[in-house]
Amino acid sequence: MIKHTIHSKNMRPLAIDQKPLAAERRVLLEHEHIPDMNKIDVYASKGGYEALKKVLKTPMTPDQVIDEVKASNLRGRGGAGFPTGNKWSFVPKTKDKPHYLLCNADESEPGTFKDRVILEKLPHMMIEGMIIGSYAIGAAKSYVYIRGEYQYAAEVIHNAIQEAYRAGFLGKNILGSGFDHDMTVHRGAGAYICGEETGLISSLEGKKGWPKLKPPFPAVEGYLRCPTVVNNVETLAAVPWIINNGGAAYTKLGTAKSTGTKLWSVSGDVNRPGVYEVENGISFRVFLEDILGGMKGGKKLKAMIPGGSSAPIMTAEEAMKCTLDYESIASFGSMLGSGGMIVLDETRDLVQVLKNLSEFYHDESCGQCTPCREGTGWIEKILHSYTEGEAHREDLKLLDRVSNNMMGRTICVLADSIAMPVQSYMKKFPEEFERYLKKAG
Amino acid sequence: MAGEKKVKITLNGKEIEVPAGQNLVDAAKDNGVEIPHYCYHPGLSVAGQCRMCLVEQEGNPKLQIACNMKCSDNLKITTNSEKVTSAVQSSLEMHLINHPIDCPICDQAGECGLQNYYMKHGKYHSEMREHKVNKEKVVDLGDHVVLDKERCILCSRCVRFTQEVSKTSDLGIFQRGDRAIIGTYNDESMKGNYQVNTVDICPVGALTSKDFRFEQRVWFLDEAPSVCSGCSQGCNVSVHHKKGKHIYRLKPRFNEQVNKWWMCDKGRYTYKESNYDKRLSSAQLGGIDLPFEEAIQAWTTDLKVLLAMERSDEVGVFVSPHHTHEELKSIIEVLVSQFGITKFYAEDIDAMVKADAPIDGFLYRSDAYPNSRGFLKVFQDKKIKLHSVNDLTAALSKGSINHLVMFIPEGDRILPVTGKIARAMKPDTFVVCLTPQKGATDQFPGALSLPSLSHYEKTGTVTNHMGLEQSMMAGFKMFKESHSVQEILGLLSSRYSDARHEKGRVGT
Repeated sequence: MIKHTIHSKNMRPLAIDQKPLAAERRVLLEHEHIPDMNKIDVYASKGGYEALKKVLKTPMTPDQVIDEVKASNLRGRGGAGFPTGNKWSFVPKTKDKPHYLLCNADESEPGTFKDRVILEKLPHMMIEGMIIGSYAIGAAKSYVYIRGEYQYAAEVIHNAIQEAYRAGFLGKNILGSGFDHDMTVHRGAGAYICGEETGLISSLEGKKGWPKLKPPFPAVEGYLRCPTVVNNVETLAAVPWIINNGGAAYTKLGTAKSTGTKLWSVSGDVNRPGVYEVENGISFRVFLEDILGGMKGGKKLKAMIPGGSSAPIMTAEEAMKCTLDYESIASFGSMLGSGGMIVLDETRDLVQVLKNLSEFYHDESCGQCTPCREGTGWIEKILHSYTEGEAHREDLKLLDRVSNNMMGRTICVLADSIAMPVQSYMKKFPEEFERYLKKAG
Repeated sequence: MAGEKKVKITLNGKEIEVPAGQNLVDAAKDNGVEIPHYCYHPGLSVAGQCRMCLVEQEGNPKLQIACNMKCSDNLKITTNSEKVTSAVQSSLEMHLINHPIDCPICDQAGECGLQNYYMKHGKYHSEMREHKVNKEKVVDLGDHVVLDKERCILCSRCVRFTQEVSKTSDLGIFQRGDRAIIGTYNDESMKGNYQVNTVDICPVGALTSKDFRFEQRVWFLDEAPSVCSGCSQGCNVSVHHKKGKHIYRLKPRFNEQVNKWWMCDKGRYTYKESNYDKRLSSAQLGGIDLPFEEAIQAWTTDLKVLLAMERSDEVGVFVSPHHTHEELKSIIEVLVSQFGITKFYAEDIDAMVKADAPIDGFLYRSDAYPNSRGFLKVFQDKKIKLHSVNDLTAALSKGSINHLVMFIPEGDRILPVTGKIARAMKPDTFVVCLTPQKGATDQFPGALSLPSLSHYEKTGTVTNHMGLEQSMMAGFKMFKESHSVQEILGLLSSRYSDARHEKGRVGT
């Protein structure tokens, strides 16, 4: 049982405007504003668990479920953007080992807080998606791995799971289909790296949250060395809609390669920071003006980080040209990532922003791979002395060389997560770094 | 191995045939290509952390780690491209930025992975201008091992060893990032009989052996292949000695069948029994040094008198399975075939062999002799009955043995047995001790003592518990005056023949 502690009082549920703005397209968040949507009866009154009934009572075969998700072209919303249906199809059809579905609710990328809305307000949508996903991959057990700081959300999920058990959506012989499934919430202890797919698996296994070598891939050898699928909260929450409306209907939303909608969590120098759901392909300009209410204090946009703090930075010009989908953002050398957008105005010192980020990644490196363990600390130290009035031109070359040597050289991508910002900040905002050189003389 | 499936891989443009599924690091090594690595060890699971073994794989834009690659057909690998060498240099640089580089006071210097790779793959100028991360030094991990957390490169070999091999799970990695450290839970001491293996596999000077610490610079050491004397397992070892005058340490030597890469701590310290300070350095009579030649003469004279009077049954010989096949053979050739001596005494080796079993579930076994199987076989083949120690003490106190030849190996373990024999002896019994150890002669104050070679100086063969005959090829000598059993008995034999010949000549 999850005990109430003082922290849960401090962490109030996230509030979202009840009335959607014109440019928003609420698919997952359609009923988010309805009071008590985290209660099973309210959720059911809005069509909740109909998708599960469709799957188990029709019945659809696991392969049909996978095909439907494949048809939707739903891509993983945690950051990597891997097609979900494909991921599910990699799980062996054999049953010599138990299969597991893990829901990644660790949401630890700085700037990212979009899963929190689903976890707190729409827990049953995610749970329904998890049960359907588990059925598709033949998993009798699933876990919600939730970040330690999300205590309130963990309580909501825990209660929702209990409700689902009582309603017969979890447990033995669900809806008379013969499919058994159990679900548990597991709270993390506050490490960024435990949001990494295999770091999460290690942590759930009771070990230090060290990412694992691939191969073997989790689909073959994951949690407890059994076939495992790890999906993001938002990804799983999209599954009931896709089952109800069909994969084809989902592709009608968004762009050809970035189907559906995306939840964006926006922080920084805008008038209305928060979580918004939009159709993929909406232009950043419209997003900024119509949804975010423009720049705070009427200041000028300097830069935008689209997909969480580890995504390469974009200049104002690039941002204004881009549309919010995987391809457009990638064409500017960045990535959609988790959809944790950080907007920075003209007053922001990007070297300081980078230094701040480097402190975070240095602190969070698990210490397993040498280039990351040593490199994250080194980058922080160089940036520290650079900003403390000892800036040398060689420092920039060194930063470039060190970050370059960290990229693509480690088990997981934490090293890349600081190397990419270093490279992109230096490349796109050289004048920010020059200023320090001038100051130092 | 016969029947093993082979695959063809291309390594640096050269097609080679290797066993299917072999680890790429090992396959390359077998074919003369060194892929640098710290965390990979063939005896442990793959960690893939040090990122030193990065190689280029055809068809893969990203550099891959060789340690996590198994050889399969059509694998095309490049280890010498500019892309790879600069990546290796960069990984090495990352290992070194926070390393204290205190080589002048580090025991690992001379056999250090960081030094070796720096000379091969590094040779750059350090650009680390910031303060290094400081960590705890001289951390006591128990009876055998000392840890320097600053020198540690966190390769996790020691951690995996305690999890996978010794199964003690003593060590773990605490903290994260560049604050990560090796340690034990609650700062407890390491446990078990296999702790120093962690020192062997530590590629840097982070884990050092208390026994070897600050004792000797490794580049002054010579290595001699031998077999551990500690028990019937017969772990293959390297004897690290300085010019044959002083043994500094034993290290396990790989043998797939016997000990793989490991050895136990008890066995590791058996060299101390062989070392110079425990040794009989000169022949002695009644505790007074005398020239070796004179000692042999004295032995020959007494033996000659007895044998001339056809009293060979008054000669008793005490032997032990500490001896090699070659030594036992020469004992039988000279003492039995030439002199007709038949009374051999030993501990109940048969019972020891029957009860022989692993003590700690791994290498260390209950039979404390290195050659018990070989010993029994030699005597059985020659149909020579081995009498018990009680038989010997009874014979000695009755006075039916008047000339006693004691082959006493090194080590304290034998002393209770030899002490019992010494106490049973009548004062006028002529005793010859062939022994490397000083302690044994103290029990026989009136004896004629001849310094023989210690186990780790010997060249010869021993048979381990699984019947495997293994060679020891040390072949060095700490003391000029000490000789192998074969040499001593050979001298005795020739001196005896000379003496008999002279006597005959005088007589005619």
